[in-house]
Amino acid sequence: MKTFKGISGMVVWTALVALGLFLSNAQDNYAQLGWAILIGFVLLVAHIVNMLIYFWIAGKEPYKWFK
Amino acid sequence: MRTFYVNARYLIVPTMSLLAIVGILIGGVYAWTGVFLFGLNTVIDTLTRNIHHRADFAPDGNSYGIKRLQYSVMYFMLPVFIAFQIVLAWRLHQYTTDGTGAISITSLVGATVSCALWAGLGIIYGHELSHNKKEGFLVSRLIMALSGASHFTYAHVYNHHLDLGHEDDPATAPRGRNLYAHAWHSHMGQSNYSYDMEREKADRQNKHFLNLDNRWIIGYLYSLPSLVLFVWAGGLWGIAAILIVWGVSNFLLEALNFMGHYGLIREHGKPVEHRHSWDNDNVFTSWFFIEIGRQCDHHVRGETYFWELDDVKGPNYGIGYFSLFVITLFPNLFRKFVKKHLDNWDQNYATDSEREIAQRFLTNSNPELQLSD
Repeated sequence: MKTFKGISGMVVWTALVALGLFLSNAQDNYAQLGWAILIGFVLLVAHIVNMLIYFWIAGKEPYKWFK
Repeated sequence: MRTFYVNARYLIVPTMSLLAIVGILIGGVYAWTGVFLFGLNTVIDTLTRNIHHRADFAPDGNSYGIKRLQYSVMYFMLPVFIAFQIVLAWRLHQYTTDGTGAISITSLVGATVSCALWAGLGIIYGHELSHNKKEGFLVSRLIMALSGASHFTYAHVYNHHLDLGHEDDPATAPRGRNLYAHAWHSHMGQSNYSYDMEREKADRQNKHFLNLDNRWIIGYLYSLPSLVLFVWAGGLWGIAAILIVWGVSNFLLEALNFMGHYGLIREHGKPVEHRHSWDNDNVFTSWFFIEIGRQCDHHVRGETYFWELDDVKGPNYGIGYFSLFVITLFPNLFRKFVKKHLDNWDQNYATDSEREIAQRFLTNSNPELQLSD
């Protein structure tokens, strides 16, 4: 259950980042190098935060072999 | 002649990688070259499943392997994998900006899957170099960063090798878990290990977690050039492509972990021994995967050069990685396949304590182990 909660948290956060990029018109400007660097950095930070969200929500339970 | 034979046989991946890159450059149906070669390798691996060789040593006991050559090849693979991403990004750029139809969607899919598969197969070099304490360790980090998995290098050496066969090692797949669930848990668990390692280090040094020595964060930053390249080249298409490359390559990496240790158990605090790994060492797997299939020996002699690893008569699936990978894609088929091997392990390799732990899987396993069953 914690695995699914963790993944759900990641999905919500990813959707928020995607919305933010869309509202910033990133899809129209990505071909400019400056924008590409900015978008890439935002995506990388989003990925790192996704990992943290999963670690915080799921904890160590998913890795335990026994109940 | 023997020296040439022993060293040249490990050049299958570099050669095929270059062919796959050329295929993407030529385009059309040739963009699928990497996928075709993957399939061809599966056939060859299956046909040679019964051919097993020992490591080659000269009569004086020295290895025929040339260290300088083999390391040069492994370092050479870093620019090869970078080239893979650049040619794919170039094709993405063509697809999204060129109205002349220079590349079709079918070819683009072929190029992306080719790049993803060979990035995954190329992770064997990231693995081998992770055991090098000099510049090879950094090269390993950079190779893994091309797949967004730079955390692997630390987690593999300090977590997987030390905690093997125990629940403290997320890369050891417990009994009952399927490959898909393992890919997720193992990837997240290894990154979690690296995160914990850096958090504890920052605490010890009275530093904020966000500091310039944080190797978990720096590892992800190594992946920034790939992300920027693919965003710049193709926008949303580029993001989709890099997600496929990272997803497939990490899936293949975790498949290797899954096949290497599935269901094997080690009592906490007891030494890692040959019986805590599965060997997959038919001739094609051995040469293609630079002897990574000799897991039993590798885990006991982790810093031994791959060309010196040998058959130590540990647990052995008897088939190669390509063949076994196809079986693991079908969880029910894999369970049937692995049952006789696990039964054999329980009877002939396990200690009494390890057998007791094995029994617990029948009654008390954690439902979190599964994601999709």
